[in-house]
Amino acid sequence: MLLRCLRGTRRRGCLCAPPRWVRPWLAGLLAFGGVCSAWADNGPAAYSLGVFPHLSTARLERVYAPVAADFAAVLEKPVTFRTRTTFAEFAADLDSERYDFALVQPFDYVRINEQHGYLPLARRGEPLFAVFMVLPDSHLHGLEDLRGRVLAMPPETAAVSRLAQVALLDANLDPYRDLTLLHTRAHDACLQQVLSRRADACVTAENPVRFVERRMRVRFRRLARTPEIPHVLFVAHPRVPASERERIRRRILAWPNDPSGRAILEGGVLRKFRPASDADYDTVREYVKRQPGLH
Amino acid sequence: MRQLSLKYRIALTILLLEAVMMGFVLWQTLSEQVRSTEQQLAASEIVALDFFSHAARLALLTEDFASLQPFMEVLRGDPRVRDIAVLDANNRVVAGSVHLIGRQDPSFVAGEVTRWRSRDLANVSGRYGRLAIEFSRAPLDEATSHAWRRGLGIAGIGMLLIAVVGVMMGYLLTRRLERVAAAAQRLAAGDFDVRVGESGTDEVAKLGSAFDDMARDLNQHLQKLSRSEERFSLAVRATNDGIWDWSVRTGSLYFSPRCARMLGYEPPLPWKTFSDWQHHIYPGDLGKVLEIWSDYESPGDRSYSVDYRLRTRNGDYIWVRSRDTATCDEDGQLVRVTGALTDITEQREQAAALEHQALHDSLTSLPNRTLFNERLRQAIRQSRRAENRLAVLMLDLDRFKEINDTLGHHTGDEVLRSVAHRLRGWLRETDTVARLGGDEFAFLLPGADRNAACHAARNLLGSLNEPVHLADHELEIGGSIGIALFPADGDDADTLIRHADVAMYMAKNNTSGFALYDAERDEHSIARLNRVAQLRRAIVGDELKLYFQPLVALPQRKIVGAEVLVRWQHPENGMTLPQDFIPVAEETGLIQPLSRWVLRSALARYCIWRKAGLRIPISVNLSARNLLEPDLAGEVSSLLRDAEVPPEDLTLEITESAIMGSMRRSEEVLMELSSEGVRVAIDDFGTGYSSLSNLKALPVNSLKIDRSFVSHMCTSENDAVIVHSTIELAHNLGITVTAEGVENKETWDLLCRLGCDFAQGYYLCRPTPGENLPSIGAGTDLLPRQSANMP
Repeated sequence: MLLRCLRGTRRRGCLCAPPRWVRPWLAGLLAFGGVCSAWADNGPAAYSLGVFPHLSTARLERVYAPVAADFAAVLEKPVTFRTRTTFAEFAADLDSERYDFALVQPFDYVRINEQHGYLPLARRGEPLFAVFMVLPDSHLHGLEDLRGRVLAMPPETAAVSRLAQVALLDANLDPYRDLTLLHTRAHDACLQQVLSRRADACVTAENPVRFVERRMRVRFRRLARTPEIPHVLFVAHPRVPASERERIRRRILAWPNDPSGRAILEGGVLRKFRPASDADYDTVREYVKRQPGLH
Repeated sequence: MRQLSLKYRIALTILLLEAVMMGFVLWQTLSEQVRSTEQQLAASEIVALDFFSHAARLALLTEDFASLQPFMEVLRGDPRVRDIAVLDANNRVVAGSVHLIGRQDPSFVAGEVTRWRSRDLANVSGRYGRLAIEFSRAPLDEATSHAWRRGLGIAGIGMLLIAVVGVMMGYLLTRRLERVAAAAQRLAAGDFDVRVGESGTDEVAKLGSAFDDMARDLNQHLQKLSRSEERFSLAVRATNDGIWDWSVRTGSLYFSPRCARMLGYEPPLPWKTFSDWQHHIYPGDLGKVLEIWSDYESPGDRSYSVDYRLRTRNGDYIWVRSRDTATCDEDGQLVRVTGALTDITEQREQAAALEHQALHDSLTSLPNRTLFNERLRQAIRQSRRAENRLAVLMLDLDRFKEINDTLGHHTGDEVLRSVAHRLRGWLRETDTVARLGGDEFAFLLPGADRNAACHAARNLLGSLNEPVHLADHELEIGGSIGIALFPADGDDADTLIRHADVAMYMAKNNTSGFALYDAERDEHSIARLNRVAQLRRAIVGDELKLYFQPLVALPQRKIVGAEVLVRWQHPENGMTLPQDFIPVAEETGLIQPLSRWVLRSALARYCIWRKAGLRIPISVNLSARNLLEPDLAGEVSSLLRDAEVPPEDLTLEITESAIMGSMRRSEEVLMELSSEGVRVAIDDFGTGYSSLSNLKALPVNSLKIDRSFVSHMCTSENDAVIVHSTIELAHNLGITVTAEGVENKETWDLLCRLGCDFAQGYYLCRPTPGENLPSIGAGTDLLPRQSANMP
């Protein structure tokens, strides 16, 4: 009917007959609407997948570049893997909504969900907790033994770091006064500090420990662990069409079911992912409340 | 190059080879090095690219370009890195060399000594950008240049060293070789004792050692050659041969000085070609010489020998023997002929003389038996072809043995020479007269028939009638000739000669003095063989008869004895006289049994007569063969004893010729007989050649004058003189004389006048059988003897 209107043909009962000078505008509007509609249905021609720098860049690339390629195969469009060298830079990228898809740590999710509407797709199946690791021959046996020691940990804003700080507080240790914190750029880097005995212990997630132990053929002893929170998760920017979001979510969940998916999981020493909902991360929001400055 | 010394040539060759090899190796090495360097540089560029591309990729995906700084510092530390550029996905330079940062779509163009290498920066999730690094080739070129310089330097030093080593090696080699060369020169100059004396086991030492061996062997060979040459020279001088040598390939002809002197030239002989030589060959010998020369061309090494005559400088011819050897090469082509010339003129002459001597009688210069036989054979062949006749005559001189024995061999030789001269004079040129030996001559008359042969025989015998006049003697000789004709009497030489010889013996009993061959009388003929057998049977059989011819005393006409004459009553031929079978008996040896039979039978007849009251001595003839019997006297005595006949009643008659034929033997036998008491009479006296000294020596009781003188003594004054002389001679020697062949009264009367003692002949009484003799006086004027004393 609109087209008839644009043609100027009248039908009996049609009430509108726009003037001639309006028709181009209408056509343009119609075209723009079509594009927007098309765009709204298909999304961008290429996506980016950002991964928070919980490992060294090289290792992140090894693990997650294939993930980006897997996403590209699902979406049939390029998906570029991106990361940053620091948590702060990555957080800034998140805050600038740079990434279409991202693998974020829980605390960043809480923020970007709140601020930018990033939507959860799938989270790692196991809970996230921080582990305090020492060398097998270390004399440290509890958190209290960390007093006056050097504790390596990922960047301050990293999830395990935030869990570790709370754990220290709960152990009556002021992280900034009772021990020396040695922040490394990534999870595996803090384990490196322990191995090089620059730190007496380190705090990291369990996965990096497995990763480093396997890669470097070393063994660590767990000193303590923090309470659990939901693990890292894949999120998608709301600009990604829901269909594509859903396809990616399904793909992530289906990784254990095919060889390439299993290869991704094994490459990152990951367990399977489970569907993620926003409500899952309410516990993280509680931690945030306890450390508002780090939000 | 060949002018250069060997050591320099060796050094130069080594140097050139080394240069080529070094150049090749250098080029190869440097090329390889350049390639390797380039590969290394390329690899290092790739490594650098790889090294930086990872960081660059991570920097691009984290946008943390500051993290590239350390890597860039490392790269910039590589002097080869000129520029670095990290481009993002939009082809904008986001990191790298400062002057490149921010450029959009830069073009990376290689410079003269630089090149850009780029690498896309991507992972499985996509392309992030590109890394480009500009590398300089200067280090490579510098390394290459340095390598070349170093290589050339090393090559130069190496070649220099090689050159020096080469020269040294050449020097060391040539020094030793020069030593060998010097030794070789000394060897060539004649110093065969030179030695190199190299020690060691390398090739030069082996050369030196081989040289020493060669010099030693050469020395030995030369010494051997020298000795051989000396030996050869002496041998050639000893042989007195001339040596010649012809080189076929060069055509040169060499004659030794001896050849020249042999031909009367002063050396060298002025013959240069075979043609020169050929012109000096005796024309009659040229054919065989040219045939030999033409055979030189036959394949294979050959030796030749030919005798021919060569004309000397003064035009004479000498005989030479040329012994040649033709030598051919591997292909059988004639390359050389070498020969020796020997002057065989004297040898030839000697051979001719020997040949003449071998074929001629030395005494008379007549052909001898050998030559005669050869001519006879030739004449027979010719006669056979021409269907002609020829005659062979055999001449035996009469009484030659007596002359020889009496006057000596020298006189005998003179007689033979004189006879030979005479005989030659009566022959044609085509005839041949030969002396076969002794006093035997043979004649070959080609074309002669029976009449011509007989005519020739008469002429020859006539030529002998003339006495032979020698310095001190004048000798009368005669001969007997036997004739055999071809083909009637034989068709081969031996048969003809033998038959002529037989005929000659026949002629001895022939008044003509010659006889033609009669097969009947040939002892080898069948007729003769039959005769011999018959005679043998007759001797043992009853075919022989004794006849007795009385011996009558002159002038009383008393029978004083009887000569025993044997007759053969041949069953087929009838009465056969002794002259027809006695010769056969003598020739066959039957004379002995015949004589025994005659003697035995005669003695038996004597005994019969004796019993009848008659004592008639008997005379038995003996032949010359009987004289040769070993115990004739003994056998005679035995027969006499057996017959109980007094030996003095037996007279054995032996012809003068038989006695003279073997004087010594005759003397012995007659002595033995005489010592037995047997009486001996010489029969046919006057027909032999007895000398008075011989006669005197013999124990002869009586001479019986041959009938040939007695029967003609009344008509021949000479015969009468001979008879008279014989009677006188015998009486002077104290022996009696009996005249044989008294055939008439005149002869009887003359004999009586001459004083002959006894006579015998047909005038008085024919030979009669023994049983008739006692009654012989009846009807005759002969008075039988009544036990009269023996004369």
